[in-house]
Amino acid sequence: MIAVLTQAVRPTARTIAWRPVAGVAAGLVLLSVLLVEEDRAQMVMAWLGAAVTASLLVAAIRDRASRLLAAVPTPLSARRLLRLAIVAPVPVAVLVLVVGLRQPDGPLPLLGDVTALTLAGLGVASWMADERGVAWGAGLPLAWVAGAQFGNSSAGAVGDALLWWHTDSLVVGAIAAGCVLLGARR
Amino acid sequence: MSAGAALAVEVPVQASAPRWRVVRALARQEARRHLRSPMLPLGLAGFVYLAWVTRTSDDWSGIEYGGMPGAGVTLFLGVSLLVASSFRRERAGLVEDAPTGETTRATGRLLGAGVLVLVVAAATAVQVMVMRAGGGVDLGDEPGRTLHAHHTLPEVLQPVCVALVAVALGALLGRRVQQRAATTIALFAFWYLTAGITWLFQAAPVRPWSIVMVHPVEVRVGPHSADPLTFPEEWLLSAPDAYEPFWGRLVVSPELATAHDMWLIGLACVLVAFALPRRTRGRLLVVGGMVAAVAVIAQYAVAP
Amino acid sequence: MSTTVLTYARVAVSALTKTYGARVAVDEVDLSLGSGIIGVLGPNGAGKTTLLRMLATVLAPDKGTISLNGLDPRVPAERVEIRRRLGFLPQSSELYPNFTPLELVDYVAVLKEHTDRDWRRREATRVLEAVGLADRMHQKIRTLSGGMQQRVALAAALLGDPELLVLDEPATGLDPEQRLELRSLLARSAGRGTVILSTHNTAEVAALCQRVLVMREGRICFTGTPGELRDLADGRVWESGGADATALRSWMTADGTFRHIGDPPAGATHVAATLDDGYLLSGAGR
Repeated sequence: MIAVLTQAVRPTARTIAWRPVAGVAAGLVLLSVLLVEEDRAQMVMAWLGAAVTASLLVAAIRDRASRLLAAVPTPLSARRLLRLAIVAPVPVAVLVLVVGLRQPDGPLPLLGDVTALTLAGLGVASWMADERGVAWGAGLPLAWVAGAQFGNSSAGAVGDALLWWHTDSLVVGAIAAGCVLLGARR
Repeated sequence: MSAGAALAVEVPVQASAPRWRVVRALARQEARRHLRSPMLPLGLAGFVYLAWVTRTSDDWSGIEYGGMPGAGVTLFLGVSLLVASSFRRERAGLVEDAPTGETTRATGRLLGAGVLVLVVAAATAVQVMVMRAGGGVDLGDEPGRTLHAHHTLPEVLQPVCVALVAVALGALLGRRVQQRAATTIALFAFWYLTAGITWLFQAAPVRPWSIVMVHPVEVRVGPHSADPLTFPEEWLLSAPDAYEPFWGRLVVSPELATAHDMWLIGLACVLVAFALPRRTRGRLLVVGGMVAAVAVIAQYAVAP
Repeated sequence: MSTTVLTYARVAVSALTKTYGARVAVDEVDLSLGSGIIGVLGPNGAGKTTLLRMLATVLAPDKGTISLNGLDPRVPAERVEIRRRLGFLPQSSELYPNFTPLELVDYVAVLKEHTDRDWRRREATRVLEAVGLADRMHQKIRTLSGGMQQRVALAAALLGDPELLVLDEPATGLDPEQRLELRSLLARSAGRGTVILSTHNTAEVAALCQRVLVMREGRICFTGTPGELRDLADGRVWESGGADATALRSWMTADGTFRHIGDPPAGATHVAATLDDGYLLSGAGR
């Protein structure tokens, strides 16, 4: 399997749509430059950056030739993992450099948020049918962060749940990882 | 009568329909599709929730007044996503052979999206009527405060103009961006920043370029230590806080709001122009660009 | 790749069922298929694609069992083993427009666990030549016609001479000459294993298949040779100058006469039955 994935790195990289990745990276850089003087904007940047990066990573597992490759012996989960491994370094590095390093607590909590949101999206993608699952999975980080931004004044469990990806990113990440593993073994 | 002749009689001859009739038929179809989409009720639910939050919140005086246009953020996102999916259909191979030209199809799609603008207008009208029915809303800090503030007409029209931008942006990205995920992410980021975090764009230099402009505008009138009782009593005041440690005057400027609405309309024209085929975009681009440019200059000129 | 000579049925299916919501796409299907070319005929929505996707291990059935070359696709390790011996052409698939056919087939070969670069290059060239794309293998896929792209996908399915080839409407988008080439290509492949293909085209079945299955509403309503399918209509096809209410089906032919199938009335002008007639009668329950 390792030999197969190693040889598949270069062609897989060519199958990935890099423009959205470049767009997100450029957008984060531009925003951070524009908002460099605005302390209040750092939380906004962190949340927005976490949402769009996670969404981008989940969207990157979409393979346009997935139907053609549906019956190859290399499992879908391995192919998706390879795509993620190829895509992730660029947007995550940009996020850490332009947003994470300027956070009061450093980049680690932000990485936790991105990981939790990405795994949650991947969990959805692995349990739903191919294309639809990826679309819903990529939408989840955006919806969850938007919910937290605009709905966190809700009292009680709903308000708390909207923030779980941020306040309990480890737990969310662990549960979502479990979902991904179970989904991949179906 | 032979079977062949019978067939010839039964087949209706398809007369070529006038262009406007095609546009109208397309617009109806698109409008029906928009109204049936779950995206619209979801956007409306978000709008109702945010309007309710600003109405019931007592975080600061004027939250309901200033939060009026931003409450539509989910609705604007929904509108953009719906229009983007409508224009994405333009990328399907089927349309290449259609006898109807791309400009006609785009016109139909844009007119169909008009129903979404009407929904935003209706939602805004209900929101404003609810505020008026309560005798107006709270605005300003003591001693310069009122409990009976009403939005002016240009302010009420702002969400409708923002909806036009939402339609135009959806059309542009749907038509020009290949990846659906990229469109969704870009629209989310755009509306999150411009309509969700409205305070990001309220500094005087960038205000005229904002999408959602928060009214009233705050003008610095005195330091933290100033005695507010020395200010004219008809002024609405903003007390110093952690982010703006000075006394400010809250100015509702219908002129500024009007110029900002014009900027949004011009911007929408420019964005739509780029969604149209190259040969037909010229006039809209020039007119829209000029309206937007004049409106931006006017905003700087009339800004309090 | 294993070259074990198999003595058992290559494809055995028992009570196979797949539902989508309330709709039963494949309903309690039993099958036992050996080597050769098997054509699956049926109208749109009959369940052909669902059946083929389950046979290709892409879709898990809700009920029933499949055994492919003696292996059970429900067991992950056996599913992988099946896929090593399987070629699958889906009904429609996007390809990577920025790849050349050679690059795409080479990539599929990597994912089919062929890690020897030289072998892969030779094999990719061979299958592309086999589908008639020798002179296009270095051109970007985005510049190829729909039919050529279909052949690129077919070439990917043929990689490594699979023992089981599952092809969902392989002739879609091909012109008559390309169809002829496809037929001889599949005939060669069938000598080495089992080819299961779905089609709407009875002429293809007549020319190519040793066995034919007719599916309607998720069930197999006929299984036999193409000749046996045509024989269903023997003595049950007639022509007249107008519509006949007693016929199961009637349609007007190009010369203006009406052709009917069903139980002919007395004195009817019988004509020779075709495979189309047999196919149309196969769902009539007689």
